[in-house]
Amino acid sequence: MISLSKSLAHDWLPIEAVQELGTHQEVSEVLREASRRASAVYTLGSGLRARWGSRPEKLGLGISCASMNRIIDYQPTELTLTAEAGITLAELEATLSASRQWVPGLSGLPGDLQLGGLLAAPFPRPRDWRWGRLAEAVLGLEVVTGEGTHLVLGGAVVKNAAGYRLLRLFLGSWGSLGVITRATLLTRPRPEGTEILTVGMKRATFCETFLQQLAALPLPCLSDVIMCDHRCLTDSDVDLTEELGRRWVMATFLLEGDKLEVDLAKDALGSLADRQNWKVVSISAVSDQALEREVVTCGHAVCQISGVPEQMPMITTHVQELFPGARWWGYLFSGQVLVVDTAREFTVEKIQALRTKMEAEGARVAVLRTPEGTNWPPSVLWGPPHPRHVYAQRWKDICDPAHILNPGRYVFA
Amino acid sequence: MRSFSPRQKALREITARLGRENVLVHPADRLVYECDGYTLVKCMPQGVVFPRSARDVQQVVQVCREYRVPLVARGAGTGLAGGATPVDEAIVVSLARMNRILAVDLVNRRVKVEAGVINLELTQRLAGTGYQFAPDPSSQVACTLGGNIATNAGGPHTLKYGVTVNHVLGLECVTGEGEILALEPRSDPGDLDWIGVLTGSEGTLAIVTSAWLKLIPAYREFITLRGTFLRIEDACLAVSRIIGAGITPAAMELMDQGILQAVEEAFHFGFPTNVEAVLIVELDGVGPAIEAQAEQVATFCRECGAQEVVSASDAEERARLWQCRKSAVGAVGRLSPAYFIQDGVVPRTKLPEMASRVKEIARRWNVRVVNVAHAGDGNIHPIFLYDPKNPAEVERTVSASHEILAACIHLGGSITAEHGVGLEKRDFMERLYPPEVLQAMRALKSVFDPDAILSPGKLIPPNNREGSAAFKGERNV
Repeated sequence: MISLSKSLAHDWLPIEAVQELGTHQEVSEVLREASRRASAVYTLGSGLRARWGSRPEKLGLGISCASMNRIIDYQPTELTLTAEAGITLAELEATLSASRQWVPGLSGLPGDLQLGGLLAAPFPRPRDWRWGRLAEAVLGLEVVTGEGTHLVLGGAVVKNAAGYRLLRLFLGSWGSLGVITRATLLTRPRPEGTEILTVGMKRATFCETFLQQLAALPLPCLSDVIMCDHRCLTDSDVDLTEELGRRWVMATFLLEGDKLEVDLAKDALGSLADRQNWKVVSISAVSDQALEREVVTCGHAVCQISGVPEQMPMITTHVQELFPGARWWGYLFSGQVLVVDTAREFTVEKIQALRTKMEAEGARVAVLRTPEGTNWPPSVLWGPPHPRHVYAQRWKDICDPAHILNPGRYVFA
Repeated sequence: MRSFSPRQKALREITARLGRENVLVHPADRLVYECDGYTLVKCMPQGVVFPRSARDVQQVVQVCREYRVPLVARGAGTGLAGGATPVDEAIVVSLARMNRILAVDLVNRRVKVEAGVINLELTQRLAGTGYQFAPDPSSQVACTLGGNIATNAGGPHTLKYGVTVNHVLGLECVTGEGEILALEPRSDPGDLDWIGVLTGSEGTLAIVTSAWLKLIPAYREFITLRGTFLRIEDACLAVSRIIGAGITPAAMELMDQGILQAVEEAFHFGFPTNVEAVLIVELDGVGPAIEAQAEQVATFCRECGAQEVVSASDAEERARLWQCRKSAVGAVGRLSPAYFIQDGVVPRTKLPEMASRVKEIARRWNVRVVNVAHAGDGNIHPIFLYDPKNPAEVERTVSASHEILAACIHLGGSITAEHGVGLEKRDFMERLYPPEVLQAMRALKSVFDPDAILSPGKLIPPNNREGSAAFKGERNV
């Protein structure tokens, strides 16, 4: 047993003690015993996101896989890397960089995050649309289910159609079905060229013509367009507010690929901007990286809204109306918006109002982190149970029959 | 008074609900549905039904569930693992008449299609838009998108763009309980990734009725190279060199001497037939950038022993080249009265070893094998030529194919990359996965199909073999 680390001391998880586990066998033993006793187990990664999800009440044991932090196998020629769950993103990044490779879904995140935690509870990223969500880069996964069964799922080949892709049900399940102990990832050659362009535009342009203009300009190397208000833009070299003015919305184009291709795409976007009288500024880094760090490490509440590109104006309008002081940004093609409650405006009533408006349009709302000092029920975080949750509940009953894993943190009853 | 079996009762009720025009019962009509592209096992279905909507599919499933009658979903029947084979006199649910493209939505970069839309029709519909649906199985002139989703189909261009699951945004399907399950085309952090698991579940968890598919911008410039190699192992080596250099071609396809001969006979493309292998490497992107890559690729091929590396001279030659590649399996019909195509995958650096093993296994079992491969993915497709009237040859052929699958597992690969498990590879699942993983798969099946009426006996080996529907069906052959 080790003492509860300070990073977890948000007085959030009802943990009696934390146990460091070094092998999947140890994880199995602990979970088997906990299942037998029906006692709660909370999975801890880096601790940076300990306060994500609903607030659980059942006292239990915290388990950490931080010492399971080895790279088991890395084959640059195979484009595969197998690592244990406790490895930090910084170490992964360093290893991959040496071979000029990357896993797009991991790029740009705080280096102290652990792989297992990120796989268990991902959040939207700027490269999801073009390169695929992080789950799509997972070729193989080892998990220990709530009853202590060690499952080796998938494999280490880039294509595998043998049987059900069970690993996809554990990824993103917030550690409520099993504890991830190891993963094999698909790596990719790092693009040689990157350009990030930001334009400011009026709200009417954004709502009425922007998407149509983009649809008519299919650029394969355009990873996504990051939409945000001017307060979210940061750049060390340029005063963007000065350059672009306080326009209602900013669009940041993330271009990645062969250098020549990126240059040509930049020219094409420049021409479009000229025709539309948009002002274009080239910036040095994706402007939301600092905000992503803030999402992960700060204490502000965070809300995620999922829709489709054409709903982005509608989504952002409602966000601005309900939370005028919040910071928001979104990934246009993947239809995701993140709202950070920097002005402490989130309340149960307002979240419910937002959800009502969003669901009327077919978009979904989830609260990833609640405001400090609150204890919102799961239905406020995740929304009312959907009829298809019956399948999730059945699967939960199979994987974790005693309901010991992270009870109360995710959607399950 | 005549008594009816549960299957007959179910079929009568389905006929009453869907109408006679949407049901086939005559033996001559049913005959064509007794197998898919995997012809080693054939079973006559009790009937064939043609739903026109998700509601129709729901009714069929509900009736079958009531009478505990098995049913098998079928697209175009181009599957190669027996996934659509109606073992145990199952009722075949053909999605062929649900064939509308419901929406082309370029602003949101997606299309909505019914399950019976043919893959190539979607490609043709998107021509000129600047967007594409990337998965392009070799059977794309006939295979349906519902079938692609059911098997998580791939194709030559998945090396760069991924397999079907990477391009499915939303699904509508009917579960084994007869519930219509709508998975909207937007991610929901408060739900599990059902699309990720239903795609590739081969119709054993639910029947896909429609889908939202992802569109990606399409490149307009291509360079398509052909390298000729005296040794197939050298061609495989070149594949690893290219990937290892950080180049991701759109496609990297390998054809061996046997298949080249068949293709030449059929299409007269001009492939050399005196070499062991031709490697086709297609690069897409922007002119000068891919020209530089093409030079690198040609260098790697020569360093690995290519006798010649040439580029398709124009778009027409490129189109003909792909026509040859995608028709290669069909051309094999000129070589043999019957054939079946195997699907295995190994880590791509193991391809040279795998190529040697295939040759050695074929020699030892005295069977004829020709090869195509999505070499960039490590995905091999040995094609076994045999005479179905020669039982000893059939037996040797099956044994040799099984040995190749075992070799794939031994080399760290898998028994299928894109065709699925179906009936053909079901029993190999026990070699690939430990019992606890198979048990977890059975448990998942029970979540969606508690009465096991959807394609029973496929994909997962049953716990109790003697009682399984599949084994009863197989005795039916």
